[in-house]
Amino acid sequence: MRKRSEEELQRIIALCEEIEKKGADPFAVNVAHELEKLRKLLPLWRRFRELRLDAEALYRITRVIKRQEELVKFRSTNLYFDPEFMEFRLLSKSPRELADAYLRSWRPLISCQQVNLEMLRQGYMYWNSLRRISRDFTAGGKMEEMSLDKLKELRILGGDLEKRLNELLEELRDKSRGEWIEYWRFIDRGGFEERVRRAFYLSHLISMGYADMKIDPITEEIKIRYVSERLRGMGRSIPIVIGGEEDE
Amino acid sequence: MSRRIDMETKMRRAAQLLFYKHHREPGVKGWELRRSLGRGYLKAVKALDTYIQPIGLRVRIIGKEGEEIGWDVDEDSLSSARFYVVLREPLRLYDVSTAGWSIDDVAGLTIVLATIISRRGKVDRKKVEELLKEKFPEWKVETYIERYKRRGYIEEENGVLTLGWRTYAEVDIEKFLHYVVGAPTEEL
Repeated sequence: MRKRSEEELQRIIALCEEIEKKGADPFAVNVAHELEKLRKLLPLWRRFRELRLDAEALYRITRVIKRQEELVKFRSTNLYFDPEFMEFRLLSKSPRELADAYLRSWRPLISCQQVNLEMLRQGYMYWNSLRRISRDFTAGGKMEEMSLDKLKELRILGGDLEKRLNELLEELRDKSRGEWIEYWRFIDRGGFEERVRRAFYLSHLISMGYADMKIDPITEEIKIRYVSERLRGMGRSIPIVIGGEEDE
Repeated sequence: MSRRIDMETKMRRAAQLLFYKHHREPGVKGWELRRSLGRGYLKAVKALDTYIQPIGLRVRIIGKEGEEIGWDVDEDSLSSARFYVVLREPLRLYDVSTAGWSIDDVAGLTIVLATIISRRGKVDRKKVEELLKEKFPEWKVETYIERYKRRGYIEEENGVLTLGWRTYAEVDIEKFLHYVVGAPTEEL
C-alpha cells in the first residue's frame, strides 16, 4: 500500500515536471484532484524520504498553478493565438506568404566584424609587452612559486588576504543572495587596478568553491553567484581578459 | 563649443560600441555604455540614433524579458537592457535573397517562431519538425533548425525549442503574429 502510494507521488511529480519542461498545457493537470490525493496520503508518511517526496509533489503542483496563472495572463495579451489555429494558418499559407509575413516584422541587426589598423596596433603593443616564456618552463622545468612578498610588491596582495577575501565574499553574498549576477558589474569598482584586484580575489573564491561562475556560450556573458554550501569537485580554468586603462 | 566636441566624441564612441561586434552577440548593455561613455551616455546614443536615421538605421533597446523598451524608462531597466542598431525599414524579399537567405529559409523560420510563440515560448522540437515536414523535404528540416539555432533565432534545451536572443532583437513579435495569422499580404 505504502509503495503504491509512493509511486503515486512520483507520478504526480513526473507529470508536473513534464508539463513544465515541454511547455505543455498546464490545465491538463487536475490540480484540485491531485491536491486532494496528497491530502489523503499525508497521514501515511513517516519516513524522511516519504515526507520529502510529498513536499516535492506539493512544490511541483504549485509550479503548475503558477504556469496556469501565466497562461491566463498570456491569453489576455495580443500575443495569444490558439496553437491549433496558428498551425492551421501556417499550413494554409505558401512559403512566399510566410516569408512576407516575417520580412514585414523583421529589422535585422547591423554589426561590423573587421580588423582595423587600431586593433592591429593594439595587438602589436600587446605582443611587445609579453615576456618571453622561460626555456626552463617550455623544457618541462619546474614552475616557480611566487612568494607572498613578491605578490605584495606587485600590489596584488595589499594586506591580509583572508580579510580581503572575506570582505569580497560578504559583498557577493549581499548582492547575489544565491541568484546569478553579472561578473563585470561586480568587479567593476574604482579604476583598472581595483578591477584587477577584485577579479583576482574573486577567482580565489571561485576556486575555493565559495562562489560559482558560468559563461553563456552564445552571448559570452559571465555570471557569478554566491553559494551557501561550498562547491566541491573538479573545476576548470577560465581565462578572462580584463580590459586596460584605455577602456575606462 | 567644447561641449559639442565632447558630445561628438561620445557619439563616435557609441557608434563604435554599437556597430562593432564585441561578443558573439552584437549589441551592448546599458551599463557597458555608461561605463565607457559616462553618465550622459543616453544623450550620446540618442544623438547617434538621430544621426543614423537618414540612412535607414535606428537604435533598438531590448529589455531583460526580450521586450522593446523606450528611451524614457528608469535607469535600472536601461542599465540591464541591450542596445542594438537595426534597420528602420523592412527588407524586400529580393534583398534578403541576395544576403544568402532563400524564401524557404525565411518561411521555415516563420513556421518555427510562430509555433514557439503560440505555445507560450516552448515547444517540443519534434512538433516543429513535423510541421516543417508538411512543406519541406525531411533532409532540409534538420538543416533549417540547426541553422536557426546557430544564428541565434532559437535555442534548444533537452529537445525543447525556445526563442533565441536574435528573435527578440530583430523581430517585432506582436506585428509578426498578426501578419502570420492575418489576411494574405502584398508582396514586399
